[in-house]
Amino acid sequence: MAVPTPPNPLTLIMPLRQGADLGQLQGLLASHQEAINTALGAVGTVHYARFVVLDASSPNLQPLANSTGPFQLAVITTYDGNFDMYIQDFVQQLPDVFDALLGFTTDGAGLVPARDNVSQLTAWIKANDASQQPPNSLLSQYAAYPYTVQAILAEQGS
Amino acid sequence: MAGLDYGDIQGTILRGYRVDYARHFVLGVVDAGAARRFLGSLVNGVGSGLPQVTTAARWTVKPRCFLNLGMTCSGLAALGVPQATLNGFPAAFVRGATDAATAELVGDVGASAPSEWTGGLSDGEAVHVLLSLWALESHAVIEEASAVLRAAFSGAFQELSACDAAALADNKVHFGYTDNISQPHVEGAPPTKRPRPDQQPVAPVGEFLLGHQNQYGGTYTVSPTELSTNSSFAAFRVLEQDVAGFEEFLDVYSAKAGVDVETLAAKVCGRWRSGVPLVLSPDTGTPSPPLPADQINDYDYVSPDPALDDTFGYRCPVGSHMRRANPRGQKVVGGGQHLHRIIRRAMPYGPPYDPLTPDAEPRGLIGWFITADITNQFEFLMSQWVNLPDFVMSVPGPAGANPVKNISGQDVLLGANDPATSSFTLPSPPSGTTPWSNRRLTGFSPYVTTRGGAYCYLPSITALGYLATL
Repeated sequence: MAVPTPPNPLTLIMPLRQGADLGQLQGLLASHQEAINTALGAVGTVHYARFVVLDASSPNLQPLANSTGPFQLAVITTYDGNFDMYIQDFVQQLPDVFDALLGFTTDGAGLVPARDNVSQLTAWIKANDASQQPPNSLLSQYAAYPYTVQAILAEQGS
Repeated sequence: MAGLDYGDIQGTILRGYRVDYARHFVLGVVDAGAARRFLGSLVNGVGSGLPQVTTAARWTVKPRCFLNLGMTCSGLAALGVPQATLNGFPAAFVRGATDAATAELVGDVGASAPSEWTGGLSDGEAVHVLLSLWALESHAVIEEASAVLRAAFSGAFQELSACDAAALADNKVHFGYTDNISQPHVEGAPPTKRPRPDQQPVAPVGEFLLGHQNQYGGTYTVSPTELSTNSSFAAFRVLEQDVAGFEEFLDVYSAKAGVDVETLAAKVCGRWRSGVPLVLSPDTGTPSPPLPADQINDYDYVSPDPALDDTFGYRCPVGSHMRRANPRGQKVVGGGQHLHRIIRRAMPYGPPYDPLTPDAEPRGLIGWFITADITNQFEFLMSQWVNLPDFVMSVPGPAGANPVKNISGQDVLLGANDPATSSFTLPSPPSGTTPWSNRRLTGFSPYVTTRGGAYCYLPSITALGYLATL
């Protein structure tokens, strides 16, 4: 059986610019969901991934009706290996989606086009990844299984 | 695409020099002003008798001696480049080869740790310029050029060390393999005299030069522009090879694996020591009829033709050195199987090893591994492909076979290979009633030890002129 390699957490919280149109953002994600899923499959290291819209004006951070935010878009994943090393290959899969999402953020628009600013993008992601910052980086996490996506697929015959 | 300005590009980036001798100087700045003037004299001293930086421009008379050079981040600082400028340089270059994070990332650990490096390379802050000379004719040509250079840089630079290299017979390296077969085809590079198709995409020149489009559709740059366009980066490496240890590994482990010595040597590398690739000739390194020279690199690991497909690594193990360092069409996580290319300009150093008269002379491989982005190319190869088995994508095959299951551990030739965890998988295909099965070799040591390294900026001729007049 495969050598155990516990996966890593990403909790990327991207502050959205004032006046960001949530409907437009949802439309962007919906229209690109298939491309995003294909890209995640091609990258091959992501176990699970989801987008979560948060609202800093709401006591439990869940978006309120008629709220004007400020909003955040969280990207929450569990992934294998070294995330930094694969950011460039990841951007290669979805350059337009990366650029569009960065355009919604308060301070990420300057990183567009992402393919020209990979090292700055890597630093920006790290700074906004709650899992890589204290105190969250010091909290332990649970993994039901310590195997990579590819090891699991191989065992399943997929 | 507009033509490249070959005269502005250091030759070794785009041209493989056919040479037999080399000397690599490791230099430290002692006088910044004098150092800058010396650098200037290497590009504007035509006719002065001082060797000049070799460019990629076509020569009508082949130079007797080739010269190229690079600077570390501490070297650029010592030459007077402002910190604000250096802060805009890539993080890996600024970190440098001796940084603990770098060493951990690329596997320079244990006996390969920077603290063990020789030739002054262990003190990254003190290593400023790497200057290389190459010659075809004789070592005497190197000595002549060295004498002139030493006189010229006296008072400007301190020579921390100089390491000589010399080709072995028949393009061999110390472990007996035939080297210099495979390099990326680079768009816009001068045409090679001996084309060798490799079934890989031509690499955009921006993978090896700043200021030009790379494979990602982006452009690697630094500021100011004078330092950017046509410059590059490289990892300078000194890799000591334990020939006796490797031969003993082959003897002991070929017996464990139930194969002969040359087969195991081929399986851990990806080519027979003759240079013939396993994919094209899985059973012998001397196929009959012989493989034509221009076909020696013309293969892929995966193919829609079942007769040519080696997805599962039955011919060339998935974990072999060449397949790790360059997966070609094989699917890898990230999808970047063709996106992490590297140009290798290295030669053997030290005398050939004679098992009848064993010696403890240092011997190995020394030279440049050239990349426009150290992290996405050199560091990626070392950390993700050479030193991990997890990069392979699942491809289901008959009887539960899968390339994911056919690789373990690290690269036998280049990996860190702690004996407590080292592992190499020899996959065997199903045959008759025998199901697919693997043999795993474990407990072996590293036979290559890093003895030196430096992350260098390779300035364009424009950049050298700019640095000279800071």
